[in-house]
Amino acid sequence: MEEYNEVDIEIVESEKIATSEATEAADKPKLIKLPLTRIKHIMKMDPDCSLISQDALFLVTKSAEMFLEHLAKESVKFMGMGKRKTVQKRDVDAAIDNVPSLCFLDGALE
Amino acid sequence: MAEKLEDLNLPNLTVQKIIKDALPDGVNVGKDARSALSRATSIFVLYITSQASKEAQKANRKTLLGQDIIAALEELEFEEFVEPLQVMLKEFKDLKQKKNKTKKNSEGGDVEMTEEIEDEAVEEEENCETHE
Repeated sequence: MEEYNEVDIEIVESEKIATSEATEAADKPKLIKLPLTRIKHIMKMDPDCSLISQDALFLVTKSAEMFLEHLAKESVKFMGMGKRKTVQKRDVDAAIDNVPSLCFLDGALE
Repeated sequence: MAEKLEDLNLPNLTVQKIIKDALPDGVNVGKDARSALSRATSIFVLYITSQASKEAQKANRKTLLGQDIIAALEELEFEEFVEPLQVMLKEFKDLKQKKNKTKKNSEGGDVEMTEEIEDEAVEEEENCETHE
């Protein structure tokens, strides 16, 4: 049962702000690309996570985007070593093995 | 709350675009790599959330605040994300304020609601505590 319907409505509104309105207003790329509601669903899987402020949701969503870029770039480094032009899963695995901050993914992608 | 497993995955096209924009031209990403990157990102969300929940618990709060996320990122060796995130958070807040102003002009009501959302979250927390 949702305890904070107003917050949910605002999340949808926030998504509109961060996606279409940002583009219309200033012709800039979208502020957020990943969907806030989907990220929120993932966060709610954590049993200790109850209420989430809008700012927290924004920060998690945005940091997830940054993480995705970061992991992709790290994987490319290992692809480069093999002189291929297509990043494969083994490159992602190599990044996980070699970059300390990625150790939380160890064994998680099998 | 029966969540279908697919609902925890991030949308493929969006993931693809983020990856493509991050990498140099001419570099391709295989399907298995893309899937792995997407799943890794979902796991990252859980990882940060878990750490941030601990921060909130330390402060005896039930609501995750922005500062908990920042603290979690620093704790988990992603400090490099913090500065750019704070810049973008400010942009996000500014956009929200602008939108609230236009709402005020057109509707004249419900103006305070959007700005009070975080306060409401805290109020909810207090209400919950009375039930426990």
